[in-house]
Amino acid sequence: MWQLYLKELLELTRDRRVMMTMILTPLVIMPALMAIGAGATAAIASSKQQQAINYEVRGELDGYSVVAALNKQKGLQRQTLAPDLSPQEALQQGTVDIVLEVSGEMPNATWLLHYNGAEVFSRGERLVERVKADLAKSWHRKQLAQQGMTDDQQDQWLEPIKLQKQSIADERETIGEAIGGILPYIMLLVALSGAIYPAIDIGAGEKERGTLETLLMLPLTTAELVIAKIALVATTAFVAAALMLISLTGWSAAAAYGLGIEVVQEAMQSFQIVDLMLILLTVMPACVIFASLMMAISFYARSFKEAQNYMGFAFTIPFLPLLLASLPGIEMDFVWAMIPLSNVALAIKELAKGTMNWGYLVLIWLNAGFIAWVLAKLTIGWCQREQVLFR
Amino acid sequence: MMRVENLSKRFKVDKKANVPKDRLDGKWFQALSNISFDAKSGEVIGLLGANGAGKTTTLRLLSGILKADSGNIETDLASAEGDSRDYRRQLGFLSGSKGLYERLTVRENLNFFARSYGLTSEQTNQQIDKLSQQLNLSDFIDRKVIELSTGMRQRAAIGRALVHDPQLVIFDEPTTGLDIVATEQVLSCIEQQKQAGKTVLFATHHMDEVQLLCDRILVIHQGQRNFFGTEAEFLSQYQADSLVAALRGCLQLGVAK
Repeated sequence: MWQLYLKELLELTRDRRVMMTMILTPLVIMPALMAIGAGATAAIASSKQQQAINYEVRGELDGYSVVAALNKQKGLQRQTLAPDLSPQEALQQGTVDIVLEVSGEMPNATWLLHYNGAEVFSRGERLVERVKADLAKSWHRKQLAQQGMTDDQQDQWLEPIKLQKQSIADERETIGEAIGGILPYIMLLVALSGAIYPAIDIGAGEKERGTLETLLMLPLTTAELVIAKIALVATTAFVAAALMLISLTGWSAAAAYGLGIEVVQEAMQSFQIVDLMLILLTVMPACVIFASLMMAISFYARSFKEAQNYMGFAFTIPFLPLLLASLPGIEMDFVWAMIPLSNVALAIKELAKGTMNWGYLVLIWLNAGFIAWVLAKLTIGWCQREQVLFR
Repeated sequence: MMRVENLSKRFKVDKKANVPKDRLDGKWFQALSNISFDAKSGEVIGLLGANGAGKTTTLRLLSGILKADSGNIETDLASAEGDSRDYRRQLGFLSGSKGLYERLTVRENLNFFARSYGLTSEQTNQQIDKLSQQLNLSDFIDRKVIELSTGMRQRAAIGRALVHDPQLVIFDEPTTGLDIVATEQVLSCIEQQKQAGKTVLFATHHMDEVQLLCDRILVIHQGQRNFFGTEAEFLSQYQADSLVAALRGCLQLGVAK
């Protein structure tokens, strides 16, 4: 069995497609894609920040000057529209970014803001909110001054409750919460993609090339043969996931120290090798789960191409538990610790934050290990069937 | 020595499967029925039959890949029943697909199969050296299989099948697609195995090869044994003056009385 494992490993290392998915994807392609995505988003956001916002104000302007207040904001530029042009038409034409219709006097003034809510980087709404708050505050001060209040008294009236914030979360937890949503998703999907090609190659591929029959003639039981293949696919999945983690850590450190981002530097200093080891240990049973599923499908397929078709579908199966685990508000508890793959994703998130409960971690290892064992057992039974091997 | 008794095998097939209706029993297709024969040490048995007759199923059963529904397969030392690992250790199989890993070198292929059959590192190296000389592999033994010509691959595949020095060797249409030089090398190898006292089972469609090498002939037709005996008995049985004519008669007339 060990000889078979070593042979498969040697063979796979000579396959460029495997090297692509197992090594290049986590080390270069994924970080590059993430960097390009982040860079593009930052560039668009920065460009939007620098763009002037064109606005028009319509309605009653007596008593206070909305236009004057808006003009005090940086990056706002008034446009005068034809009186018969509706705000909707003006927005659709792109002549303006916002149209504000004002009516009435404070304290009974009403503003109607027309804007495009679908624009992700739109600043118009925020600026109008700020202007509204400034105008309301100055009106309040005027009213309070008429009552004979001093500036300090006005401040107390305007802000009767002062909220002071003291977060118990350190930088590690804050950053961990931010990356914890996406880290398990990326790691497990890279593990899955690292498993797919080797699984097809050593299952359906062997059937197609006629070498599977030769293997079945070796003095090995079919169970030993399948175990060796599951072990190999789990290895490639694990190597891909481990390289992804190492790559992300390396690139993050390079970015944090290269760009001098102190918060990230402090967060990274609180990470220890043992944290990374625990994350990898948690990923391990997930890799066996993926390997078992992929080998069962691969052995069932008649050819390489047929296996590829099935894998497209199989690739979607782990999405739901991973997606559920990455939703905001989902926290680790007993129920989530028992849901396969979701529990692994949540454990990675908690480990990234440094807030893992050891009881849950052990429970997750036991649960994921048990599921992996059951799936491997089912796959072995499945692949021992002549109807599967000789379809 | 090898003894096969009443070997039967059936497969579950779906409705759309293109199989002969007369061998269909509900969802089950009777691939083989009560096949029996024996082969002595140093004897070459020629396995003949039309496509779909059951030759591949017979060979898969003999190689231990498939399990028979009933019947026995035995050699001097082991049985294919139950845990058939001891049986498979005595078996070498050369199929049309060669069974070589293309991304590995010939040496790596031979090394993997030898070690998997339980040879020590030293025994493996000795066997590889021996086969390298016998089969003239030395010129390309450290090249990847994917880079080799068809003839080279076939020699390497023979080496793969013989690397653990098996007592029973099965050749499944080993000369299909080969040029005359490569064909002669394969036939010469079969002759060498016979001389070395191995039991050889040889499936082929080429009657000249049967005439050249085989001591006895086994004809399978529609999953049943139609004939088993020497060439002379085969010709006499079907009153033919050539193997082709005898085979044609055998396949048309059915089971010999």
